[in-house]
Amino acid sequence: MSVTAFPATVGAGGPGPQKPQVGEGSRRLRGLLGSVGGPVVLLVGALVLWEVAAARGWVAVSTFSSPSLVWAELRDLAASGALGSDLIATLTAMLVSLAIGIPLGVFVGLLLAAVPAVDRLVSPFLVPLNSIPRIALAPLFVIWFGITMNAKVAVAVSIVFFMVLFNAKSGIKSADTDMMMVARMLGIPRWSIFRKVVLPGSVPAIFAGVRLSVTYSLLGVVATEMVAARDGLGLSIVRNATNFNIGGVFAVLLVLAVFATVLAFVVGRAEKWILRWQ
Amino acid sequence: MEAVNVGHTQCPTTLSEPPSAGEIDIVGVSVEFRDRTRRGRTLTALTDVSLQIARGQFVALVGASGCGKTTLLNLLAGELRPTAGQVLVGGRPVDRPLPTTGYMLARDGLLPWRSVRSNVELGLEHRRTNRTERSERAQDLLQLVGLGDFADAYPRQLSQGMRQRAAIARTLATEPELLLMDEPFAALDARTKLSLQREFLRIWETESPERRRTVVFVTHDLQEALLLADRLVVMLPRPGRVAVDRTIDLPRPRSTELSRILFTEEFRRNYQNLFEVLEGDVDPDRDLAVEQ
Repeated sequence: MSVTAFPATVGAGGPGPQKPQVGEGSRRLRGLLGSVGGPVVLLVGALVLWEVAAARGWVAVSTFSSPSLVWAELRDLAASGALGSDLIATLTAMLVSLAIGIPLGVFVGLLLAAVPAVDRLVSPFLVPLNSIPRIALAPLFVIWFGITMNAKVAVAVSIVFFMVLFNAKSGIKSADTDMMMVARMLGIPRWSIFRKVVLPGSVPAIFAGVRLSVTYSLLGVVATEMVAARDGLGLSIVRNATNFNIGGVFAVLLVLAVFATVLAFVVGRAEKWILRWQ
Repeated sequence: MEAVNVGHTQCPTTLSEPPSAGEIDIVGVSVEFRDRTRRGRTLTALTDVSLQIARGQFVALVGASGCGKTTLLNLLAGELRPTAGQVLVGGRPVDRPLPTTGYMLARDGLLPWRSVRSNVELGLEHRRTNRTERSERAQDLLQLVGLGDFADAYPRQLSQGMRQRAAIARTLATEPELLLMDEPFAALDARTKLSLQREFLRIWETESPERRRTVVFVTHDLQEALLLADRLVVMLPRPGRVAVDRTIDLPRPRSTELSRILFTEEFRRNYQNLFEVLEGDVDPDRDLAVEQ
């Protein structure tokens, strides 16, 4: 911009303050487009294309729905209160599973890292257990716990637990040897070295596990709700899909996407604050 | 300006004349490791090393890598036991890290989640001190190493030289009578290195000679060893052994004189002479290179 603005000013033979301002303005516009505007344009474009495609009959509305239908469904769901209660059911199960799975995973991870004997005994089973697709456990948990929140929580915990465990364990094991040496030479007792050097050093790794856990606990809860549940967004999806209410399915998916994004944002903020020394 | 108490407050008082915790006696020490690459074989890190170091002496251990100087330091630190012989610090065999010994590495080892001040306080947290006492001592020490304004910064916000200064403050905080330093300035660029050498020497020389801490300073930098130490022990590798043990007669205090000392005839002569001892064993092509 400035390249074209500069000779133009010279050509005019006098000081032209307007010209550079125009250049600056369009640069600002371009910056805005790049950061926020671009994605918005892309989204609006896709929605318009979808709407037009549905209206013109390029795609079947009965199987692909349309943005306006999805919006209408969303408003209906919200108005009936069903969306709110399903959202709360899913959120509660998810938070309970995190509240159980994260401390448990951290504790066992630390235990295995600190006590090699226990690690040798248990670790041959960890990878096979963790490689079971956890959704496959849902029917079992439903039989054990009934069609309750506990079944959803159990599935989500079985995911979160391993995720946090592996991260906590590797975080502990990768403790900085220089820092440990320094601490030993300062005469710090063994337990305090663990508490003051090893444990804080493993927090970034544990947080990586927590970040994943938030995403995957939602997966566990929703998937279990799709297998057997009385409430929750997963059930809502199944219900809408079996009624061929595709707009309803999209509406719930939209809610899930927004919900998961907000959660990821909150966890990201918390992580940034806790690890502000990094 | 030196507000920090560096006195020997932790001297045991059980005997009439107890050996100081800064006194070192290494008697016929050998260290062998199991060779991981060849089963059943052992690697000799040190063979029959004897060394007596008086309290308050600044000794530099110089040698190429593999000559066992870090092994020797780890013996003194209580991180390692000798295969044969005895390592006495303060008249007793060292079987664990002693509270009267301070240790400093090439890497600062600062805890990145603690502020600089809190890092300096680390070693005091397990020695009957209260919070205000610790904080004041840390602040004084940071002042001493020129980091008074950076007490609340996190280590990542400091340059490498500043981090190493913080490490010095942390090491001094517990008032050690013996300082073990494993190439403490090796990771620094030449200018920062000189300024830290000067700084460390200034702090160490501030004490009157009879109250100075004992320093065992491992380095592969001959110039550094000659500049700082009272006594220079040259070690040679395969197997690790003491080759030269020489007193350096440069006057003290030297901290303000470092750049002048570097260009004196005496320094140059010492340097050349020891360089030949040190590199003669390492570089088999030396004679060839001279002929060309």
